[in-house]
Amino acid sequence: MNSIEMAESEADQKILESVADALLVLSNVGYGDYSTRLQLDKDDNSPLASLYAGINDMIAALGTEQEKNQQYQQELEGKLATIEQQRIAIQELSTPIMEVWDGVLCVPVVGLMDTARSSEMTSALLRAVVEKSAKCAIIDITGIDVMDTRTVDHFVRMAKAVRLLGSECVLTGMNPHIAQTVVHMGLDLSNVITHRNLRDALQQYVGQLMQTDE
Amino acid sequence: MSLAGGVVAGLTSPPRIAYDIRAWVDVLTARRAIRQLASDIGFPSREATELAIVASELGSNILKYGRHGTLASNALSVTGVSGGGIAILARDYGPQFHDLETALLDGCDDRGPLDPIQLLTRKGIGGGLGAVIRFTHSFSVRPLADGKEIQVERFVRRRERALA
Repeated sequence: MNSIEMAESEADQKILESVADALLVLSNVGYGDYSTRLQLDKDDNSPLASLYAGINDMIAALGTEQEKNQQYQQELEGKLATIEQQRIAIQELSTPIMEVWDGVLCVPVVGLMDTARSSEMTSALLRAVVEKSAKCAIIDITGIDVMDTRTVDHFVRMAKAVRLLGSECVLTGMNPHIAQTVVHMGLDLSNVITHRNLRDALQQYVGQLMQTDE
Repeated sequence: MSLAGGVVAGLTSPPRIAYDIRAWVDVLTARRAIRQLASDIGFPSREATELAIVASELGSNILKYGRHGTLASNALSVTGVSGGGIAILARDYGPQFHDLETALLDGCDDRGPLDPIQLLTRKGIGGGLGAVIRFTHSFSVRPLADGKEIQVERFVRRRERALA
């Protein structure tokens, strides 16, 4: 082997090593590591230098893009979490008052019944009874497991207030535990009509109205 | 202790959760977590719901009177067995109770009976603390320099031990 051939094979070797380096760094990028950069000897003026610089620039650009993406994703996830929390909040807090028939209001109550919610419900219901000149208001508490005695008492007061406004107040779906509380407290339920479930109450009141309509 | 919310678990200490209370949604998050903790400790479903109501009342009082504070909860151990009960702590940065005995009465706040007409306009019926003491086994208030801390505890009702 003469000296020229030696020099050529050495150069080939160097190019091969450089390509291997580049592949290694690119595979790092493939795995999401944007921190590594290709490095050449300072005195190297071969075309590889500009190729390396190009690759480095590309990796840097990719890295910043990726960072931006992650930031967007975090923001989006944060917003989605907020929306989910608000959805649950709306579900747990709101008590829709529906006019299921002319003059028949229906209030399905689900979730946790605390004192704040029961007082909000009372004012909303009384307002609705007046606004819609309701003949009857059906409050369905099938979805309530537990009520404090004071809250039960407040419910009965609410029923009496509805009565005073000239409409009937019907409680449906009371569970045995709450029924026990009512009896235990010795509450006067003479103003309150109760039905086993919402279906029975709707049948009676809507049925009555349909007959009078005919 | 982390106030940011979430479980702060140690190897030796029982599970403890703490939530910063600044808005209604914080009360909802906290009471849901406390209900879950109560269930994990071994309270039956209805009692866990009662404890969620307790958390909710304490939380809304923080917002109403104390403006902001913390709701925390941890498992209590009874005779060395972890999970015999639950403690709920409500810390606020509001004024002290003017008259605690009156505040605990239904239909009252800490200054006396509420005006019945006001009951419809204000967010509450003056029965929050009453519900808290009815659903728990112990209740204590600790005055602090910049607020107060209410601690309540409730224990799991254990079945009678089978005799060998």
